[in-house]
Amino acid sequence: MNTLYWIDDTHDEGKPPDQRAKARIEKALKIKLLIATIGSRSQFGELLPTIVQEKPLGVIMDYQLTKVSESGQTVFGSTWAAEIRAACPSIAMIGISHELEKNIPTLRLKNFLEFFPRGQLTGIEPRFDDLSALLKGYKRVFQAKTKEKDKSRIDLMKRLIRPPSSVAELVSSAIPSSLREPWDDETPHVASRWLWHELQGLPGFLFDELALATYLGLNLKGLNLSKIRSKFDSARYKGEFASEARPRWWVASIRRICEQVINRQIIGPVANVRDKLLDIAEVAPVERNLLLSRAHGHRSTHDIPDCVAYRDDELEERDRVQAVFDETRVDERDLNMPFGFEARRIYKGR
Amino acid sequence: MKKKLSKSSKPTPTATYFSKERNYSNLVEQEAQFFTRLLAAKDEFQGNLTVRQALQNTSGFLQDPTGRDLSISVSFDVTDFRGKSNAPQKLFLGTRLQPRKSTDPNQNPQFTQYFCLAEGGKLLTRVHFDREFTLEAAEKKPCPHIQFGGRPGALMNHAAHMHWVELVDKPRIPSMPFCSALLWHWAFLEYQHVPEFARILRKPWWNETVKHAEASILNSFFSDGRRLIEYQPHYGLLNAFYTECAIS
Repeated sequence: MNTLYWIDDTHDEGKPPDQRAKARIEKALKIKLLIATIGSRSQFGELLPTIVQEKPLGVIMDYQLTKVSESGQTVFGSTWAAEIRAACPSIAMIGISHELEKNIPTLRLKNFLEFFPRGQLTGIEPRFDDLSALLKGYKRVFQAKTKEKDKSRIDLMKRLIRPPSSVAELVSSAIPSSLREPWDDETPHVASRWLWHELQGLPGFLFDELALATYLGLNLKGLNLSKIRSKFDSARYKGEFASEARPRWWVASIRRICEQVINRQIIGPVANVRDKLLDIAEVAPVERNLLLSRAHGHRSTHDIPDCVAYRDDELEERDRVQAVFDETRVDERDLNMPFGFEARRIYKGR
Repeated sequence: MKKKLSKSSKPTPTATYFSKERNYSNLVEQEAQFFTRLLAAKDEFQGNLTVRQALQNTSGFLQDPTGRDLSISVSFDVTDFRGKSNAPQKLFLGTRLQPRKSTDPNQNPQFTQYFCLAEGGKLLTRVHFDREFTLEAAEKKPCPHIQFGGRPGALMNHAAHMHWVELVDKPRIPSMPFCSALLWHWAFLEYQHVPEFARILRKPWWNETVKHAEASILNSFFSDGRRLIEYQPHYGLLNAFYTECAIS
């Protein structure tokens, strides 16, 4: 059975999972969870060889290890994460903390494959699907690096991504230069982060649920009608790090599917034919208003939103809305996006 | 009234430029193929940041050509062949594609190519090549046409845009159809004394691209035009530019 380490401090605020939470994680991920509480740097030094020998699937590391250094100061788990990865690069490093992600320096975050607020792994609705996708995905990326040493790096990435043939070359163009060179021990971590945070995390090649609903002229409730959502199964992203809890669909495939569904060509926004889609889903006219997308700041569904935007500069995922493009602005942090990715937009008002 | 063609001279179903080839989706598919090829060969334009930047902006369009806008402009340094002006000149080539946004059938999709020449901040030449899709529009226009003013949108860079005379609508000169591949090729031919263009014009991939564009865009136009003159002279070729003409 695969193992997963959970490294926490001994300080009260740490709160590693109790027996119940541990059992829940083990059951959901089908792994053995080993919890290590660390009170000093020397204890970590003693633990490291064990981890290296055991080669667990991953390590969940507390970002803020309180009163762990010899002078009693806080040590950052991101530093130890880099140490573990250097000693055993096949281990996926996952960060957790009470600290908000936005308050953590980006370079430190990059030592982790993904970062979870502590409550998202131990709370009421734990993100086990995502955690499982991360651990399995990282393992396969690392294995691909080892097994496919002599093959083209672009081909390797394409095998990991599995794009539809119509966009395979376009996706190739978007692969960053650091992943085109011969891979070293750190490259699987870089590649995995790119697959999870950029390819799947940024708008460009893939739609998330809200973006897909917006493209179709529906809200999330409308998209989630089984007769609508199931039509787009063939467009689902099925490459590495695909997660049921974080579904993605290939942008390039959606129009063709809609055209097949309504049996005619669509020029311009697909959202303009949303009533046809609802016809196919056999939704009665009186029920439709509750399923149509509505532009943020608008009372009616008449002005069809054509983009997804953040409500404000905080860029909180849960604060994204369907908006009219002209009522949004580009987030200035995204003014120089890499090829294929679109800048995130922020609602600016009507 | 349509004149019946003899069975032997009956056109192939694809040769219908003056009736059906004004279809926006066919045109943007050709554009998508051109920009895909350009993307694959982007190293050929390595020193030109405007080309790299323009190609950066094509990704969304290439994934969804009939749904997304494309608005790009590239510039090249050129020189006056006859040496009338020693000042460096900038050649701007632009493409603006925009499908009909709303469900209003009277809203016109945009399919426009731009050619603009500037010297310093001074505009020397500007033309654009337009397709009209709203054939029932109040003012009849030739399709395709070349226009010296019109509304360029926010396409050209600031220096060129500030000199564009939006008020000048006419003349709209009936023209053979253009697409981005043909526009670029034509511009390269016009300035083939510029080493960068001469080099591109010698490349097999470029000539393949142009050949493909010509087959896709010009074939039906010229064959229809020839058939129109030969078999349906009562329509008149120039008239056919202005109105949809049913060639059987």
